[in-house]
Formats: sequence, C-alpha cells, structure tokens
Amino acid sequence: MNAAPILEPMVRKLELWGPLEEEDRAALLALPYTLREIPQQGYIVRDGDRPTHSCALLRGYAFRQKIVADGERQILAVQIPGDLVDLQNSLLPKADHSVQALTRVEVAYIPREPIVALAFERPAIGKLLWFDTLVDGSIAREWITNIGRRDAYTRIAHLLCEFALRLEKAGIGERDRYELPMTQEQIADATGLTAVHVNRTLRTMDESGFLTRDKRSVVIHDWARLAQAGDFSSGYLHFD
Amino acid sequence: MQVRPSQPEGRPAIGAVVPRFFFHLHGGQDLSDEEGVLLDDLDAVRVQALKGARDIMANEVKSGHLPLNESICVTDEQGAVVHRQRFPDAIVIVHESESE
Repeated sequence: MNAAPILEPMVRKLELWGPLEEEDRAALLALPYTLREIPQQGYIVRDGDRPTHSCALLRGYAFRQKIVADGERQILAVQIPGDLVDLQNSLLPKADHSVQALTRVEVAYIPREPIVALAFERPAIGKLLWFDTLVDGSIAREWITNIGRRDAYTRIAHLLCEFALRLEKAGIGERDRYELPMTQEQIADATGLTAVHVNRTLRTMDESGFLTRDKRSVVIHDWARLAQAGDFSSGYLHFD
Repeated sequence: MQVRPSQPEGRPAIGAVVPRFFFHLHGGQDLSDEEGVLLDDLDAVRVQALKGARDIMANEVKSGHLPLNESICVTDEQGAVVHRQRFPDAIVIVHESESE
C-alpha cells in the first residue's frame, strides 16, 4: 500500500471530468507505478517506442513534440502536473510522437495492463479516462486552428490564455498570475514561429499594457482584453 | 528551432559547451533579446537570423506591411556583434519588369 497518495494529482485531474465514487478513487490511487525523476529536456516517451507504461506527470511541465525532416521541432501540447501525458499509449502499440521534460519532472510510470483493466472493470473510471483523451483531442484541434489560421500575436495571446485557465483549474497558478517556464524558442516551437519573432510579438504585447512577462512568469493585467486579442473562448477546454 | 546534433537526445544541455547568442531587433522598434538561444556555431546563427527575418516579414506581409527597414543584430555572450541580418537581404524581390 502507498502511504501517501502519490497519484493524487492524476486523480484530481480526472475528477475535473466528473465525480468518482470513493471505491473508484481508491482503485485509481492503488494503481501500481514506478516513480522517475527526469531532468529538463529528458525524454519521457520517444517517438517510435513501444511503450509498456502510461505516464502521469506529478511535478513539473512537459511537452509533446514531433521533429520534421529538416530538424525543426513542433511542440504539440504542453502538459502540467496531473496530466496523463500519454494515455493513448495504454492502447496504441507504438508512440507516434515524443514527450519531453520542459522542466525537471517527476513522473509515475503506470503499466498499461492495469489501467486498461481498471477502465473496463470500473465504467466510471473508463468514462473519465475516455473523457480525458477526448479533451486532449479537443485541445489539439484548437492548436491546429491557432497555428493554421491566427496571426502571430493572436496565437501567443491564445496560448497564454490557455495556460492561465489550465493552471488555475489544476490549482497551480492563478488566472492572472502564473509561472511559465517556457523560453522564447519553446513558445516559437509551440506556435510555429521563430524565437526572434516571438520576442518581437511579446514586446508588442507588453506595450499594450494588458500583460507583463518576465523570464519565467506571466502577469495578466486585463484578462478580458487578452482573451479578446487571443480570439480565446474556453469552451474547448470543457471545464464547464 | 533546429535540434542540434551535438546535443544527444534525452540528455540535459547542462554542462554542454554550446554558446548562447542574442538576436536583437533594430529599425522599426529597437528590441533587445535578454534570453538568447543556444546554437552550435556562426552557421547556425546565420540560419536562425535568416529564418527570423523571413518569419517576421511573412507575418507582416499578411497584414499588408513589409518592414524592410528592420534588421537583426546578433551578439555573443560577451556582447560582441557576430552577425547582422538586414531584412531586405533576406529576400529576393522580383519586380514586374524583371519577371516578363
């Protein structure tokens, strides 16, 4: 038995999607796992791996990425504590992208068989896990829209709004004040821009007065205006 | 960014002797880069400056504006200028008379 509920952040995340009976909660917390600390830039899952585990991010931030032929990287999603960073690998036999640590992270590697078994034995859990992957898909659709159809300024404003709400919901930050451990280069890779362009765009945002960003944190002075500038409406996060 | 071959995948960059370069913008609005980017050498610096200039111009063109007055000035960790990319030098402009 685990004395401390190590998997608590994961359960809290899943409970965003619906209530859990105490027994289901306990069953999730009793899943077997191996704890691993991974340094910044370290790989949690590699593209092409045949994973035997799914990973719950307990501490720190991670990102999903793909690398194209000329070596350019596209960041596909940013994961925060509580996120199951590769739940799809509980069923898909081969990893179709890499997951890398954005900061130093603590990850629980959970063997895939017990997760799948739990999902089928306990329908309430199965439903929440299914819900979780559907929301991941919804966020991915929003990111495609962002990169495909919005200009640089709007893309970055949108990204900053998304982090604000997700971190607030996870109890890690506040809507108008949070840590963002991303470099200009990483923001560029997440928005399909270059680092120098991100720097220029962030400066324009600074000058607009509704946002202040220093190296690792973001303070939003006017949420409504940032959301408007970012063409942001939170429906796709499915928090309501 | 380009994934550097010199940085083994999955290893932290900590301890690696990859230099940091700073990409400052001049012309339209002067903007210094406080953060910088880790790059292997000056070839990589030139590639990044070129891509950056084109990226900014491409986005500006979408709103009907081409800032040919801007440039990117790259400095090393000691603050020495190692490269300058003027925006007009990053593109070939084909005029109507030349294309006929």
